[in-house]
Amino acid sequence: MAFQQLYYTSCEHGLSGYSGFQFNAVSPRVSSAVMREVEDRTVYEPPARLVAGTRPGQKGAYPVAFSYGTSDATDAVIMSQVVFAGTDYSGRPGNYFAHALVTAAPAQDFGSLLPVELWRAELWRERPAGRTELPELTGPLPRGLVDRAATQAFLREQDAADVLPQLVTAVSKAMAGDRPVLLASRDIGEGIWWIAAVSYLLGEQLARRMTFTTYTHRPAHTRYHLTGVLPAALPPDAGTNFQLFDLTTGRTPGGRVHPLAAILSDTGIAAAAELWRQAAVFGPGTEAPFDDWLGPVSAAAGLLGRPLSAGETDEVARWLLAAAGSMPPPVAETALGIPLGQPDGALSDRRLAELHALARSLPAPGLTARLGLALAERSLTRLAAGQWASPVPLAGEAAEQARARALRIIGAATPATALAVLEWAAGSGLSLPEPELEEYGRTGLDPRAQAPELAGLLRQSAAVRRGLAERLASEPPAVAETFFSAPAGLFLERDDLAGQPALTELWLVQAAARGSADPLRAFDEICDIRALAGCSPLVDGELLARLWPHGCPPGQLAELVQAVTGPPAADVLTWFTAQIETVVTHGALGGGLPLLARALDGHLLLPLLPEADQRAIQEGTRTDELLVKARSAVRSGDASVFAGLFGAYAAADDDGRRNLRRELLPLLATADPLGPALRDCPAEVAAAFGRELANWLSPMRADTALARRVFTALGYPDVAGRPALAEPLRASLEQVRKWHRRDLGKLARVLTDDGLGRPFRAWRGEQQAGLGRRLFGADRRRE
Amino acid sequence: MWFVFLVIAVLYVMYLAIAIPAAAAVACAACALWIPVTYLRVLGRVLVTRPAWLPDWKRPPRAPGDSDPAVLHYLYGPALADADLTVRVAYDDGAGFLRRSAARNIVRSFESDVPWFTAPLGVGGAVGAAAGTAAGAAVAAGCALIHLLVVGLLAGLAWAAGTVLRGIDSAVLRIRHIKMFCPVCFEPVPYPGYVCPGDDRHPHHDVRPGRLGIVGRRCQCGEPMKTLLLFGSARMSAFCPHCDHLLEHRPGEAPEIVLPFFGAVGAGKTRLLFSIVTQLQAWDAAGQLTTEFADSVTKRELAVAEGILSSGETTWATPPELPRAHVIRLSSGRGTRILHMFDAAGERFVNPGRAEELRYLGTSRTFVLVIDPLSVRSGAVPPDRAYHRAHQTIQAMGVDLKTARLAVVFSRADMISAPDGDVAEWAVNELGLANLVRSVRIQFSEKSVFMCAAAVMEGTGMHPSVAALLRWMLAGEGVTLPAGPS
Repeated sequence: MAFQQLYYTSCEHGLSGYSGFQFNAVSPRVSSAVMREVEDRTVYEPPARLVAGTRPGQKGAYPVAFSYGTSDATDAVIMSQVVFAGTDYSGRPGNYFAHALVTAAPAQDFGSLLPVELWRAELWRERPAGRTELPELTGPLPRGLVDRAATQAFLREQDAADVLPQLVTAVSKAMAGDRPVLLASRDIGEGIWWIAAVSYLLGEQLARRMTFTTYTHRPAHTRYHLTGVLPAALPPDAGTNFQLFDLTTGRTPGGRVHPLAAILSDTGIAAAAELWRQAAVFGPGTEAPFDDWLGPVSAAAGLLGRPLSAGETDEVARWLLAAAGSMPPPVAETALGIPLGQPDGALSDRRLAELHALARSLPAPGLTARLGLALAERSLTRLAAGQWASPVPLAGEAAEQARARALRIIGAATPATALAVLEWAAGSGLSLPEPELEEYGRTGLDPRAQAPELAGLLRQSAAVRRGLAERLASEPPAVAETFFSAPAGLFLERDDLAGQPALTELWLVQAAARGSADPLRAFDEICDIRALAGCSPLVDGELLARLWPHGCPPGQLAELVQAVTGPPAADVLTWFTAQIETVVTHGALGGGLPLLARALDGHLLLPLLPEADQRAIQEGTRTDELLVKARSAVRSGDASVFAGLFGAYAAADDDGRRNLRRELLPLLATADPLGPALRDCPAEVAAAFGRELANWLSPMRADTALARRVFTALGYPDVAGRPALAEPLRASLEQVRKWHRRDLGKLARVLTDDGLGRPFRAWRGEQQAGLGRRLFGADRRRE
Repeated sequence: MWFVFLVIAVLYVMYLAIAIPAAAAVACAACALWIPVTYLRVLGRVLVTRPAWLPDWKRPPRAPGDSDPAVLHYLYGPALADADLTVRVAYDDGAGFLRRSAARNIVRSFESDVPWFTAPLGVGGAVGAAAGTAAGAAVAAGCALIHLLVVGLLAGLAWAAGTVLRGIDSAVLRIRHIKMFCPVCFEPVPYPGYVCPGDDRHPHHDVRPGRLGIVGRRCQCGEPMKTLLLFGSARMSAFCPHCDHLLEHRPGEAPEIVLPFFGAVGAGKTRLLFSIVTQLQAWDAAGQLTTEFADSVTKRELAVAEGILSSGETTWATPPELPRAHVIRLSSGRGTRILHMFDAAGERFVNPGRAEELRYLGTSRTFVLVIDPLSVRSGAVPPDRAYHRAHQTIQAMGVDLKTARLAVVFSRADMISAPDGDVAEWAVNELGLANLVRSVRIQFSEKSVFMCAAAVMEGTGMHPSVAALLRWMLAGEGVTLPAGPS
């Protein structure tokens, strides 16, 4: 391929056949569409001040319009240089000469040259040709006046630090479809250096996509991304329809500088080429837009030794996560090393974890280890500072180093930190050596200080528990007791106390005290421990008092009595006597007392008890037997047993009566017939029975059978004749009046069957007499 | 005993007969009044006081995505949203009232200490509340309907007012023969867009009455804007809705006249244009009319006209780009006119396809063909070639040539001996342009041939032929030009 050439000027003889502005000469096979576009793009008009005041002869004063663009019709690249040509063939001023180069293969034809480097190159012609056909121009093209060194020198003389990143940003936006950039300067020759600076910073690929012109007299019609213009030619809407950089006033569009523009400007013209070369290795392809280069260029900058900011490092990481899959593994591994080479803290934990996952998937073992270790270091630092950290999957050398660091932290850690480290290690798949953990439990924990996290720590690690048990064994028993009674003590298990008999005994006592162990079982185990250890005595009063600090229930006491096989020690006897007295005093008819009495029957302890207790035990046994018999008799309708019970009631003391009354009332309620059962009933029992009946006969229960028995009993002469018996029953029957009509009907039918229909209706008649009161709400108020 | 019961029963039935209807009537009246009153109270809050606790609109009205950056007119969306909000808040308040007062009192009537007395009141209240709620809801719905009808009516009136105003505005423009035109893209401008006076980053492509305002609109930055030329929108910065270029000549204030100059390369079109501008400036200087360059580009490009003509310098070649109009505001006793004068390079009328790009030719009624008599026999582009190309283009663009006017101007009158008689005859006989003259006579209903000298005469100003040409060009355009030579 080669460049097609076109000359355009006002001449007498050209391709049109008439004089005037026309193509003076062109290369073969230039299409008419391209010719029309070249004609439009190369229109030139000098600045107004030069039209008015300068003689056409002073050609040097006229700006050169050096343009680089892409054909709308053919996508061909069109480069042109337009110079003022003074007068035309007829002597008329205002002529210009345009020399255009057109190529459909710019990458090939430009070679290593950037378009801007053809500024004022020797190839440009400024005079018409003598013939109408021009040869095609083959490369390599000669370089013009622009090169990196000259551009760098120009920038050094300018205050470019602020403008250049903004200009690159604006051009990148224009290339992405935003408003074109206008670059206004007093000297158009100055504009080419800014264009060159942007071109060099954009790199070869993007620079070839950036279109520009150094001068236009009518910026409102510009077709280029970057257009040079004189301030006097700025349109009134330059600030709104364009991104205006007026170098004469310092006006810029403002806004945020693109991070890539910042990196490029920071890198500088000279180093930009190497930066882009490196970025191209990571590159997303030649057609990628400006934004897509941020990651690769940042990575390249990092690789070339430029310290990356936290934002840039994160951008590299973000890009890598998306692009690493399409890179050759060695390249991806190299790129992955770049963010790791930045100062620690540049990446968030989350990003570091994502990179870690990427490294594992590549796979890149070295980087995986580095990333894992970095993550672990960061996590452990956080844990040491009392913060939360997420686990990290670790293996190999990284795991070893992390384990060592974790142990160092645990060595001086509070329970909270130690717990966090243990949980983190478990989540990370790190197994921490048990001896060190036991050592921590032994020396790092203070059993006196009940830290809230201690329980969790003990639950987490058996080794720590074992260590702590050893520590407790060396402490005074009070410390261990306090510890066992605290919440953390719950997590010390029996197995953790192996080889610590004294501690185990304390543990069992506490377990029994808090209800997690049966005191009898604890007692047995303690006896076994003492027997194994050869301790004597096996049982003492203190042990019993601690195992049953609130008293021993009669059932357990009955069992415990069996354990006393020889003459008890004084303290043991005292304890048993107190417990038996309690049982006797508070009584437990139908339950513990008979059981205890049976256990003591013929036992060596019985004669050792006070006489009153012995008698009470015997009396309790008799009454219990009567109650058992009465329950059986009531079921079979025999009411005669109550006489014996009422006799026992009369003979009992106050406590005995209270206990017996508790048993008697339910028995009476089930007695059928009730009337005979109540014969000889003590008044106290009858009154208590009446109160209970009031509850049992409530409308909620509507116990028809009970009501029938009570109503029938009221007709029994022995009851009706004793007001002490009858009144409580009648009072309780008042509840029946409140029954629902349906329940009352049911009761009436039952009583009618018993032949008591009439008395019942009479009794109900008393109820109707009170209707007036109910109607006016008197009853409700009473309630 | 039964008699007592009977009396009590009769009395109780009488009580029921009175208490239930009375309770029903009271409850019915309370509910029937409370619900509409609640609606009206809420309506007042929504429309007038707007307390801060009022909930937001459920569906905030939004202008279409491609709409101008302005706030919606109240009647085109926010009013309906307010109606919806009123109904929702009134419903909540009404339901709350029924729950808190009516329902609770009814329930209490059955739970009191004297239920035989209060329960009938509760029953009556329940029946009355139900009926009253239905009636009140119906009345409230009627109020809401009236509200919606008023909103709809007002929206309809607003729409009608907007349509009428647009019609009046268009009629005024038509009566004043104002047709707007973009000097850059040559498109007719049905109505200019306007840039917000408060923030030039907010362009409004169509400010005319509509959803965003009837008499005025409010830009999203808060700046008020006018909606019609009638109301003074021309005082804002206008732009072309087709190409977004600023229209600095304040379109819509005065009729616009498009004057295309055409002819072969080097015919003297630019010089003639300069001489016309110079003549207008001379009249302006003499106080006979007012001439001003209507935009910054015209000012920059024509500022040198008089200097070039006075110095006798040659005018510069016109580059063969699409021309931009030179816009001049011309005010005389009879009114103001805006002249769009187009000076296209001669090459445009030679090269195929280039004349068709001059779309402004289709909007003009008066054309100026410039011929350099000295070049006719010189081998340059023959003038009739440019004429025919322009004629074909004008015709193709739909211009009715029966109403079009053509001035054929022979330049360089100061360099050749002017003919004594008819210039057209001279052109036919002396220049051999019989074919061109014949074509002009056939194709244009009104035409005139001039000899013009685009030169400043020492002591007398512009050559008088320029004034004569101007008078002919602007005849019938509503501009009174000075009668005699300046």
